[in-house]
Amino acid sequence: MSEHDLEKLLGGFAADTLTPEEKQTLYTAALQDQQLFNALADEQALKELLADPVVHRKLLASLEQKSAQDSSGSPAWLDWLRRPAGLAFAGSLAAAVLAVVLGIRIYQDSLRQAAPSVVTEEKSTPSRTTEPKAKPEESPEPAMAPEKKDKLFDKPAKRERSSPPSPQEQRASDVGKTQAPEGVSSKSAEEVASPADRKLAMHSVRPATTPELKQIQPPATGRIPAAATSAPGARALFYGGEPDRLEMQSMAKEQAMKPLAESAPQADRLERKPEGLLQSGKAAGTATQPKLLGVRYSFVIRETDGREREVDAATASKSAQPVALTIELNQDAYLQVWKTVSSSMPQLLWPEKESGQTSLKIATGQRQFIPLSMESGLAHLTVRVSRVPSEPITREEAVIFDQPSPDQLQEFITASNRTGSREHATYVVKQDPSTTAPIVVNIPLGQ
Amino acid sequence: MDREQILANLRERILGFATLRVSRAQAEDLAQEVLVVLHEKYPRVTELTELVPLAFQVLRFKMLDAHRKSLRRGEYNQESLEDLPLADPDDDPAAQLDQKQRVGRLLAAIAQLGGRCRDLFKWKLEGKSFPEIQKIMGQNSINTIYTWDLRCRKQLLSMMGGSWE
Repeated sequence: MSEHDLEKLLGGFAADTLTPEEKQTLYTAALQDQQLFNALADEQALKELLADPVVHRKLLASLEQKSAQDSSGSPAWLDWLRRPAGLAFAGSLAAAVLAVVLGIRIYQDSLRQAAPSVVTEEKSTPSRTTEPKAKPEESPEPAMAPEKKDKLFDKPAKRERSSPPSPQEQRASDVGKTQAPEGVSSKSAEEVASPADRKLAMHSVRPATTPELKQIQPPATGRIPAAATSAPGARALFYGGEPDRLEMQSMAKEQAMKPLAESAPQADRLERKPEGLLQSGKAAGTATQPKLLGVRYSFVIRETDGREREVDAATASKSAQPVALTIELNQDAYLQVWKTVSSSMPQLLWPEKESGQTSLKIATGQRQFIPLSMESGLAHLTVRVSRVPSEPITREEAVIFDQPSPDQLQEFITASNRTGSREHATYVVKQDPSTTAPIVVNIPLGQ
Repeated sequence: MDREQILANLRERILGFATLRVSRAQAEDLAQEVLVVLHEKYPRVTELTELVPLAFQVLRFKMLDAHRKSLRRGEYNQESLEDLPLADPDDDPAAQLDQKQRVGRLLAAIAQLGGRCRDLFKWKLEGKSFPEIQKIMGQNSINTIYTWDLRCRKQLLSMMGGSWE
């Protein structure tokens, strides 16, 4: 026993409760250690006091009385809490609980912050590897490939939202017609539209010049589930990843419908996610290739109630209401529209003569309304879209140049909008981004 | 360790202890007187566990006696012999008062102790040894009891003003 341990026996010496072994140890040590001897000698006063039977009885009575008061007074746990060890334990327990709570919160925050970056990685990977080429016949397609793509795309979606499918996914588009220049075997509307849509989903690549979402107001995505081909459609190439952001918006709306407690953290994620997508899209877009030049046109008639409605060409030609041709470009480019009636020479319909220009620049996402007269019988329009201003050409030259380029991909879309309106539009995309050759679109009228 | 060796060690320790409180000459006398008592009155006490506490007891008596003698001799404050009271075979009132006050202080100090310390003190007054207290308190190690008792004793001593006197 060390000297420090021997000191612990002093209490037993005064009360005379040491065992023979303890006494032997203590006294032997005391004979060798002056300090211990002095301590024992000092304890002798207390020992004598405790040895007095009267004092002994008084002390015991006092202690018994105190114990009785304690047992009827404050509860045992309170007494335990008053002890230093109890206080220390309670304090450390409280600190541990606080640490766990803070740890959980920090972990949740880190998860929230990590989610957009994970999504960005998963989104940008396919966008880098996917070539926007329209080769529908090259992919007779085993069923596994689209499934893999679906899985790849669905990963972040599953993370972001719980199981209920969006209205976008549930909605079935009515008709989808694809007109590839090289000819595409006739397929069902679903078969044609969905690969384009899948490409839409995968195309998060957007060049740095891509306009903001509020500038472009494309129709609802007309998403159609299930597909068998992997060729991107003209519509998908036109938007070049824009539908991702639309999907994010629709997801955000869905989340807003959920209970507040459930949607709050997820909404936060959704707010961050498009930002991440946009960043990755910009990065990937600038790193891969420029966006393909595309044009979207449709016929719009004005209803009696003043609302405008997109219709197909046949309906437009038969309409009694005023008809307009709407043209929208997916990037800033120059537009000119020629009109050819029967076999006469083409006339420049737009820009108007008063402008003194043969072509005018149209901003990205800006819809140009060109009023049409349907009274002239058989006619056709020629829309020319070019990245560079068109040189002044004669009407004869216009006839010569009135031939579509073979690398143009054209797709006619008829789809229900989520607002209830329908989209009747044609998308034409020039697949070769390297040339400055214009997009030429022939639009028959009165047929 | 035989009796002679124990007594030799005791003398050395008693001298060291007394030197801290009285002069060296008085300490020598004290140690000598204690050993005389042990030698003459308790020649049959040979066990260490009996002889050492006995020496502490004798030493305390001798120190108190020396203190009283000094008082009588007027070493602390000179007073005439006529003014001193007659001797009483019982404890003198001063000693009684002193003990009464000590008991009062001890009771007050004990009342301020925590529950465990009071329990420990009570069990010790009841004559329970540390191993028995260990069982009562359900502790696995007796060192825990030793440690608790040491802390309680120091706490009590502190509340008593640093001395049992």
